[in-house]
Amino acid sequence: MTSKGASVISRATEPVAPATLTRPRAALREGAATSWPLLLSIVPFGMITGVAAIATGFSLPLAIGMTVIIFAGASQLATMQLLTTGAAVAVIVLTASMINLRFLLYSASLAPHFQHLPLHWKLLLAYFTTDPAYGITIVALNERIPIPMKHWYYAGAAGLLWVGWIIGTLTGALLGTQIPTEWSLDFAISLNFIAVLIPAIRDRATLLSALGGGGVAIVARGLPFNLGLIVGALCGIGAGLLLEQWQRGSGNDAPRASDE
Amino acid sequence: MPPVLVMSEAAIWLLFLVIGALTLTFRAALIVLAGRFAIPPVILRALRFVPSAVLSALIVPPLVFYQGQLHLLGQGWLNERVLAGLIAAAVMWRTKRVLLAILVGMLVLWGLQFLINQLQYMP
Repeated sequence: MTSKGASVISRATEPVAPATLTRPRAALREGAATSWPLLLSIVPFGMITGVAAIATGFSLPLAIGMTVIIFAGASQLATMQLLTTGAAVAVIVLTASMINLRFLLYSASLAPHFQHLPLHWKLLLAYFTTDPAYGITIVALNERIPIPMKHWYYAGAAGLLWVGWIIGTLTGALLGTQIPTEWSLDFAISLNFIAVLIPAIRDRATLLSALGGGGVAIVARGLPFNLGLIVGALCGIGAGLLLEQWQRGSGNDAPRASDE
Repeated sequence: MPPVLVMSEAAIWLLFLVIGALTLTFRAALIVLAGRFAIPPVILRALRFVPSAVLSALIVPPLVFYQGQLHLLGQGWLNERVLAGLIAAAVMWRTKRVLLAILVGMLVLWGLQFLINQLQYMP
């Protein structure tokens, strides 16, 4: 998703006369025009989530309800995986929270653009925020969308992705009841995580955090309530921070990710 | 293997609401409280490692453990899920295409499962 985002971002930054964007409808439409190519990955990802929800044993309302209420694919898949392994509720909530903590970063980055809006607008736009929605809009928001049109533009781009995600989940959940278990479709959840994990590894420090997180999680698997996951994740984060610190100290700076 | 959920449907709805509320809090916190306080720099730096560390800790154990036993590459003689996962990771690394990686991973898994089945029935 990130790579597609990047190619469309470059297109979105081509100079457009700012004077054209003065009406809400035009801004909505421009937002949707920016994000629609991402539907190609959002809708199938939503379908996989819907299929996984049925494979987990959820009813159709539960499958759709989860997508509308949580609206964050990786944490939804993690929640389902942990529910089937009988993890403690606290571990499920903690894991989903850790996965979704990254939204704080997006929130920090979007905040200046929406500062002038009333609370209900801020909450709506915050709810719409996803990795691709943020990635595809932030450059245009920073550089060329006039302040009175920013929320319309963002609502157009992120709202379209929301619709695609819901339609994908619904389709997947309807299909899921007819897919035999011999197809091992639950493995698509693992593959999806792998596909999300790989772009998150950008330099040595993030690579070390992934190796540390996975390695410690294997060793700590025996801990009760699936706590090995939390221990592994914290060790991975610590290892990444330490390496980054050490690289800075020795003046051997790794490329710093200031983009997300 | 039909899934067995230990939680009731009502409890799962409640779980969704709790996770949803926390997630919306993360999404909205700084947009709503814009400019009123700053996040400590060490937290912002740690957030950068959250996706890689958490996702890795989440996916690695279910891939390498089979029926409670650690099988890094072998389950009997081959852990087809680890192998398919590694190939999918390589495809993702080279092409950065999510759908292609998932498709290749599933095809490799199905191919290996087919091969393993064939070998089991050999005399």
